[in-house]
Amino acid sequence: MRASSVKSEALDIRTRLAISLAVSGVSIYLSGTGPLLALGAATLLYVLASGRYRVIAVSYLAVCAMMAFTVGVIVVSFKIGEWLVAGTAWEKSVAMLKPAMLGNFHTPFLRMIPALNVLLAIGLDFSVQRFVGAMKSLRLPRVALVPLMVFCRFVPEFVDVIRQLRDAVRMRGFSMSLGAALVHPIQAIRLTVVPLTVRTLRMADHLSVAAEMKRVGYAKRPTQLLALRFGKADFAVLVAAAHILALICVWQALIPATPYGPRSVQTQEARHE
Amino acid sequence: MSDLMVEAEDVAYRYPFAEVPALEGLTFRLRKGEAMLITGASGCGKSTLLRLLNGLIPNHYKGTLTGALTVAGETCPVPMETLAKRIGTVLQNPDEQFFATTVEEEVALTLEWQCRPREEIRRRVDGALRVLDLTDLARRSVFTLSSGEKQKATLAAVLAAEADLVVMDEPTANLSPEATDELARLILRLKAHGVTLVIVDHRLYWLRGVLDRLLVLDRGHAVFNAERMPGGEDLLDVLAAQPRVADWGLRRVNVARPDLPPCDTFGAPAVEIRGLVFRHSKKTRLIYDGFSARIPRGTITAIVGANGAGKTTLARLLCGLAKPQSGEILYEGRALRRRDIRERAAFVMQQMDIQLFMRTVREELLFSAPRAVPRADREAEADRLLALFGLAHLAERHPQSLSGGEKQRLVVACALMKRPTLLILDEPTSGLDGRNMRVIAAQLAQFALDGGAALLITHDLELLELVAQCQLRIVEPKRKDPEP
Repeated sequence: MRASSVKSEALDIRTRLAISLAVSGVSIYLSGTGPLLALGAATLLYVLASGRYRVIAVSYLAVCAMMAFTVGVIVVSFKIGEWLVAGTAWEKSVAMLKPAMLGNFHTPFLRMIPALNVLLAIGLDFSVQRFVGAMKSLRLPRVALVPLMVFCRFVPEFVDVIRQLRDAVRMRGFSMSLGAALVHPIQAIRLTVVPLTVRTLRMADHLSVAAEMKRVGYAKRPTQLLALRFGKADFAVLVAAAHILALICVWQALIPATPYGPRSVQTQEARHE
Repeated sequence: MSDLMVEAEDVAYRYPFAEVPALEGLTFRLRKGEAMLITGASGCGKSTLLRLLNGLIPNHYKGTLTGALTVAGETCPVPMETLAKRIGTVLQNPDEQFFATTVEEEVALTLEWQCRPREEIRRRVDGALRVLDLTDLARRSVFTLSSGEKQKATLAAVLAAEADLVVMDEPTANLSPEATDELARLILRLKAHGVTLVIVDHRLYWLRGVLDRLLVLDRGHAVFNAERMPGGEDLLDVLAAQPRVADWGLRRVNVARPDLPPCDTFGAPAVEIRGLVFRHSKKTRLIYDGFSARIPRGTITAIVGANGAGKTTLARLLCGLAKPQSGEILYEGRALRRRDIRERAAFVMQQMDIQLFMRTVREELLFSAPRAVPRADREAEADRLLALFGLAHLAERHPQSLSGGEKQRLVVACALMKRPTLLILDEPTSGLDGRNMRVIAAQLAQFALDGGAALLITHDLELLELVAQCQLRIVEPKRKDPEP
């Protein structure tokens, strides 16, 4: 067994889901750079505990690339604007918009980082079974639980079908790449849509038959063989997370408003009044 | 209390919108602890009868049911919830009935939804895993098991649920001959424990000494319905002696395991493998480590190896669908680019639905032909293959609307349409009746006679006995790794 999976098994999936929800909520409330950075740092430490440094680094690189792309688009659009509409009105608009767009563009990305960290903490060692188990233990209603189980079972099967379909298409001398789809769109639809639709319908039928035969969905509260354990580590992590989030929220409440976030909206509304 | 587990009296069933009944006038009895085989040509009504027994008809599939049918003491129609407690079903493809991700959790699933106490579930799961020698695999992901192990996992789930009646749909379709023998022994053990079994299968030979009742269906009617008498002749021998047995499109009752010579010494090679090294990813173990072989021209070669040994992986490598870490694959003595290999090889995969793309059967064949071949020649070849594979009357049908057997014949015909140097077939006859299996065997033999090299990945001993001329053994069987 990998070391990472041992570490992640120390925390209950429900703990990780709760932290994820709380951090996402708080990151929406925060608007100050300092509190957002603090939240990013705290959640980074949390995800680094998984030991999956390479995946985390790649994810961060992707966020940086998105950030660079956004800055590039803003800068290029201003340059094009200057070239197209040179004049006083344009310069006034630029003078008003530029600080707002370039000066605070980092805020949405700072909000994205805590969300990325907590989602990575769940996704890096995601187990369908543990997830479904958590949903069972949360007493999710049967009408939601059974489709969720079928969906979780369907996804890996569907991925396998796509892999096989790619092989079948390549054996006929075609490709399932984006380039091939752009050059021959009708052929791409024919080679993918028909077999995938037929196979998906068949899989759905087989899974529903299997669910009937196994009595899945016939009980309101099914027993769980492998009970999820809410241990001391879960309690400690939740208490620590609650304290950290509360402190960050207090910090946010004490600092002056920024052009983003609920406080800034309130401030602007108050100014108008 | 009656010891009858199944009692059918003049049972008939018609699917919604169907013009003719799928089953008609069926009468039979099955006692506790007996094993019954239901067989017949494709479309004869075997699966329909199985669905009647496990309650999917009329609970899941609607239609018109007449006659009297009693299963496990309950007179049909019975709610699925009631029947599911007493009847266990093993489908042909275990992947289609797994809901959990590990073996242990899959075995426990039915019991969990029956709300049994945790201690009882633990005891029953451990017992079932022990009986089927799956204890070591309890925590393994079901996605990483070999076909035989998957089939055992589904059986373990049925055993743990302590079903009175176990129905099996083509249980040997994906099993190696060794795993098939093991299944036969397991059925005998289950019978000894009072479990009643109904098996639907085309393959007959493996059930010698196992059956108490044999039912042969032909277009929904029972054409042979016999019970074994104590000390009497084996039912398979009784069946083989029937004067009309050839008309029913069945498999043979006696099949020997062919003793094939190695392919390396069999003639001039069409394809040569030199020092092949392959693994799916850095994290998985080596599947091939310096593997070399020669696949002879004009010959049908069987790839032999245990479940999960890497036979399909070898097929993907030979077709240019996967790239080896090192080593060479030479076609007619030349190392080719993978794209060029794909032009010279044809691969019939197990999954039929994903290999059919066009609007009609004829278009499907034309689409498979090399583009360099003139249109008139392609059409003539398509007509020839349609006639040879018995698909001429279906030429204008949508390929996805064909039956399983028809689809299997069509994908083999499409592969031949490509005029390949190397033709690879992965379980081309699993789930096929005797008639359809012999059609495919005859065309394969002709392909080899015409100088083609064919590689056959199959557990179908009857097909091997009919057409295979030599074998390519995967020498170091490895446990199946997770696919990348």
